[in-house]
Amino acid sequence: MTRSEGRRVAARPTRRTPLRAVSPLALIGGGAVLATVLTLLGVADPAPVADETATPPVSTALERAVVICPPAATPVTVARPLGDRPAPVEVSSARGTETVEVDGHASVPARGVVQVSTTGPAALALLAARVGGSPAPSAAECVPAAGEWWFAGVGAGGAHTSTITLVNPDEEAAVADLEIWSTEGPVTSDELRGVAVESGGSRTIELESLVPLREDAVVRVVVRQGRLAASVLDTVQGADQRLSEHLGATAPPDVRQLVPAVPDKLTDAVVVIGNPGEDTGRAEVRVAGPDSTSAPLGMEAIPVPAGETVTVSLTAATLDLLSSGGTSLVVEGSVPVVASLRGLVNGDPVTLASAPTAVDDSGTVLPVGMRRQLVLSATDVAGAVAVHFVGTDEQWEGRLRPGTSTAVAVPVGAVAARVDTDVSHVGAVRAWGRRGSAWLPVRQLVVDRSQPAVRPDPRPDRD
Amino acid sequence: MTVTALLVSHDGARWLPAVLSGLRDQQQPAARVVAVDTGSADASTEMLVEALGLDQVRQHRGSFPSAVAHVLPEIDTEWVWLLHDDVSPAPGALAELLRVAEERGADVVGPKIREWPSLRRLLEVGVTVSATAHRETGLERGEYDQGQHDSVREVLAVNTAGMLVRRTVLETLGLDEEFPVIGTDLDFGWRAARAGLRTVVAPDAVVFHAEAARSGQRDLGARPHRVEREAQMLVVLANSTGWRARWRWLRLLIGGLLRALGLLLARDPRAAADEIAALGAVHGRPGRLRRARARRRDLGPTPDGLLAPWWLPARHGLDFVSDVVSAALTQRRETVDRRRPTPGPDAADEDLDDDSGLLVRLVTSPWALGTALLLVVFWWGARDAIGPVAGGALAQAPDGVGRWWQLLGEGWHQLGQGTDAPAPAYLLPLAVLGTVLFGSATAAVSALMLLAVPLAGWGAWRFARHLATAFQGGLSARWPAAWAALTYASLPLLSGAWGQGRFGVVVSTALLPWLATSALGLLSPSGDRRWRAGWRSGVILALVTAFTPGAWLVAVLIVGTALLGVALVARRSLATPSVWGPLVAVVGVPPVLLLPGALGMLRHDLGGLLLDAGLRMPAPDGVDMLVGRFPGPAAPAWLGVLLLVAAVLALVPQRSRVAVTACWLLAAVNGGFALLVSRIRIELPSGEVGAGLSFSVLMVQAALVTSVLLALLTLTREPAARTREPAARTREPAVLVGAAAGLAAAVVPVVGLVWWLGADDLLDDPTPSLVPAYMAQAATEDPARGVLVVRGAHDTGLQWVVRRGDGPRLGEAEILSLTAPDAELTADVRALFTAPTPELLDTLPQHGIEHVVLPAPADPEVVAGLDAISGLTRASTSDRETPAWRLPSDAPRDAVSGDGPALLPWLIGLQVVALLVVLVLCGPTRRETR
Repeated sequence: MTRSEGRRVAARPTRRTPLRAVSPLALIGGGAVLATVLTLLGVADPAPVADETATPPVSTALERAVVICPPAATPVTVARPLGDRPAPVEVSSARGTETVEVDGHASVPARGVVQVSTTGPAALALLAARVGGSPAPSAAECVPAAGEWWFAGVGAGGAHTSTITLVNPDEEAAVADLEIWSTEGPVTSDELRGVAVESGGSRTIELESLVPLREDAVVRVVVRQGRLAASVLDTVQGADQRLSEHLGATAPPDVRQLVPAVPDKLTDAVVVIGNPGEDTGRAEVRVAGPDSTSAPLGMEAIPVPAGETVTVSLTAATLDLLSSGGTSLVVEGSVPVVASLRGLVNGDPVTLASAPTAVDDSGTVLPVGMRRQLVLSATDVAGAVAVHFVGTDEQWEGRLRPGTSTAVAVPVGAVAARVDTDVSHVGAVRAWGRRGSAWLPVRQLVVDRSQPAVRPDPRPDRD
Repeated sequence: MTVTALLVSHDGARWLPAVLSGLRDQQQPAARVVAVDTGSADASTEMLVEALGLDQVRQHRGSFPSAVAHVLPEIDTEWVWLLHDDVSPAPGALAELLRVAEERGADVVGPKIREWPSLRRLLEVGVTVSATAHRETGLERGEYDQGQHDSVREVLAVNTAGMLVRRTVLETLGLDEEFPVIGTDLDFGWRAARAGLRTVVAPDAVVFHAEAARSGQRDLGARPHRVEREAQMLVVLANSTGWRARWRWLRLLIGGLLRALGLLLARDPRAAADEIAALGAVHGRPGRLRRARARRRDLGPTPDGLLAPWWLPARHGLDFVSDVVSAALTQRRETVDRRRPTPGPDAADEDLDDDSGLLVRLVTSPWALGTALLLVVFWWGARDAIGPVAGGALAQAPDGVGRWWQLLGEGWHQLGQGTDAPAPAYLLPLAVLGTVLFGSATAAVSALMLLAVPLAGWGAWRFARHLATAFQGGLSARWPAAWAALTYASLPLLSGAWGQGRFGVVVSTALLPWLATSALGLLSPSGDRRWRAGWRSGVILALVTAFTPGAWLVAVLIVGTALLGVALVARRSLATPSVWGPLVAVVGVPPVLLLPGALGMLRHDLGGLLLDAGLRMPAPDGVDMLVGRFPGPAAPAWLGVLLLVAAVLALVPQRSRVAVTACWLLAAVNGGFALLVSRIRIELPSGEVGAGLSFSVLMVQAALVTSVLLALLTLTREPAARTREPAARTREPAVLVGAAAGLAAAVVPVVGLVWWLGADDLLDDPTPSLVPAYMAQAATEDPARGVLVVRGAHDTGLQWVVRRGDGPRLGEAEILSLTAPDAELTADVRALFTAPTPELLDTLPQHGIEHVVLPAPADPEVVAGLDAISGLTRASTSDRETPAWRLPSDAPRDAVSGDGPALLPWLIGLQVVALLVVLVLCGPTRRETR
């Protein structure tokens, strides 16, 4: 049928396929969007602005070792627990320098401040201490010069006075500030700032003359310029005489301080806790025995105000726990604290500082002429340990566990001990006799020299 | 009063019929009309003979003065009326001249001269001359005669065309043949005045002058402009007396040279050559000048008030400069002249604007108020940038702009251990800006941070209005343009570029819309305009490249694509240089303008060409680029996503789809560029860095904003315009989608600005120098007295750098990052902290080091180690936590001296010349009216 001419019909909509409905322009536009998104998402990850990663120090052979012994009349015992052949060691005092051939160990009579130094392979693990037994047993560690020292339990008046000796072994003058926290808070005095020690010289400071204090205090020696060896000699008025004892440096502030090898016959024991921080906290005293750590009965948590030092007597229950021997006193603070333990052993004053942590091999000179016991305690994880006694062929092997104290009897004839282990630990040796007691901490053996990684600044453009 | 009309003719057949007719129609005819033909090659003589009779026509080959002199002896009337063959007198001209001559007792009378053939424009109503030897008529160019100059007054001179002069005066003074045609009248008038005679202009006497000689219709044997300049200089120097003569001689010489330079800068080399040639002809022939002066020796001084006032040349110069600047700023006006531009669509508004004061316009315009409010809000939010500012990528500005000029000019920088690394290219514009701001580098940086965002908004507004003109005839485009301007201007704020001190991005954001607007000129149908657009775009691209070096490569990519497109679509058009040439100019100009830095980088470290300006900052990753953020404090990513979505939706409206697709293609090109460039790792001496992608981030975001703008322009067209298109009527859903896109996009700048006002940024007051002041001072005065600054700790490693002043300042950072550490010094510094020896303390000063500083907090272990070194003594510091030491011996003064590239001065010279040439090339054309 043909459509009649002139008839008007609506135009039929043209059917468009879906593909034709999309114009080429829309396709290009969509493609451009897709290309933009995909190319941008494919952009490579940016390079770091600069290599800011920390570079650990490297170890090199120790070329020289110098330790400073505090002034005393007792002889200096020098030990090389890693030495397998004799090596010369220079012992310098006010009288002059003496070269001693040390084959494992040697005892050198000397007075006053003594500097023990050696170079080359002999410098490895050099240990020295002043140990003596007259009139009462005493022991004082010889230490390398450093930039900071902490002493807890110093006295500055009345029956308890302390003398600080600063020794500068270097060829440039050194300057230090003394910071003191007493039972009443931080002590400020112009006298305590800018204490200068000339090169190769020493300086003795009577604390009482600078800042008279009736109670125990904590002292921080912070070296502003150069390096110094610091030591404290404590003098206590006994029943009929004044008795002196070296006060070892305590570990820097931490929330856990450990005083190993507490004498079993300790009397009049007090624990001195210092809080140099700005936050008030609490400290709790524990006793780490051979099998576990115990909280003594009656020993409540001790409030430690910010910037103050607290002295607390140990309760009978605590002393009872300590009396078994081979124990360690643990001070746990809610804030970083420093701590030391002071008391009498057979009438002889003794002050035990919290011991420094050794991350692997450690050692100490052993007091002689008395019964001795080495007490070790792992700080983090358990691990095997071997103790070699210099001066004998004996060796002890065992295992250290955190939270416990491991006591090792020191054989007769041993002059120094070397602790071989891979675990972090603290330790000390105690010696006791009829006339009193002596104590020395175990320290990390210095067998190499740490050198910082030095490189040009990767961002020379920054200010 | 008898008059002889003396008509001098030379190839004037074109005008003679009218001239002779004018003479015949005089209400008061001349007693006699004599004509002199000076050797016409056309039908002039025949016409004269036919009109005047053979006995009244003379033949005399020579100049106008000699022709007059030739006929003068046979004239016996009281007055002579001089006429040119291109001058047609009005019927009452002679009568009026005679009336005024009688009334004023004048010796010389001139008519009002109007342009022929327009008959209405004024040419002269008496003339004088300025001290710069310019003929001054006192009229505006093209001024219509409305009787505004119709007062009879005494003048220095009147044109010889229509001049009525006493015969005796003409016989006595004569016309100087030194001035064959041009300058004759000025010289004659001046001499008449010096002789105590009066020259008066009679405006009611009108003659119409075709100015055949000046307009080049009469062969003068030389270029009219050159002849005119020579004649006018000679007039001034011949007629000046006493000290003024010597002063004007010197002034014309120096002024002429400067004027020639100015003409060169205004792209008029022929006029400049004329000026130089005229100078040579006058100043180079002292004998001629001496003779001319000798002939005038007996004349008296010039009466006061006849010469042009002293300030007139300065006024003309000022007018010209303002015209050039105005034309340069208003790119639509490509030509400099003093006429008003053709009124555009907004002419009514502009007229209203011109009639109102600025304040009135400001307070009555909601747009102006809105803009002012936004500016105040921005500057309040950006108040940190007022005064010294640093942070992020922005280093502290140096004390003065002189440091930047020094870095640009010296080939060897005494930074670190000394380096010949090139100064960053952005220092040149910064130094110029700082110099303008009274030498303050701090002010330059502040101006940059405070003005870049408004400038970006302004540029985006102008660009949007240009697009609006193309898309909808410019009507009702204000809202979309305002959105685009606001959104674009907020890009540096939202992306974090501003707050992170990425000043390169900030400046490029400000310049990009101006570059885009300029590049629109490349589409102009006029080849000349395309060339100018090319040069102009090249200059702006050079600036953008100086701040974001990736811009040039992107431009090369785009231009390459464009040329390829042209080659595929219209290959024939490539035969026209003005099609491809401007495009090549766009990408060719930046390397030339940035020559010292570019070549320096080529021979130093090629990768440096791809680094963004400023201190090293983290580069954006792909997602960052998509949403327009830089790593660091930046606006929430969803704002960027919103803009992205709006730009995708912008593809929906059909009418703008082509343009929006082009924008997306541009974004895709940048995406591709970023994809490739991000894989480039540049091994700088200071470490490996990625190539700068900042410009691509900016380009992608600019493309997104433009896409949305184009869609908005389509949607906001006049309803009538829309409904005319059948396609538009059937696309209402597209309008709805577009409206949704517009709404989404509108959120971006508003929310973004609110966010920015409360956001943190990296900008702050500059931190005090790590180096103690006295050490920095010593190192500034003598760079050899450097300071070894060691950061870090024993357990984490030590990092050292040598400072020779307060610390790295803006512009120095890039140089330092391109400088490799000195190997010997590296070994010596390592030894200082690991195994110091006494010899080491003697070696370190040889490297130009005098002090060692450990900035707080210094590691006590490291401090103790240095303290233990014998010979290294503590130096005083104001901060106890920042220990310092002094080395035992002084550093030699030449410790960090060195030689820079020998080519540098030549490159700088080339750069300056190229800059001048390109600026001239992209400047507006100077219309020749002669």
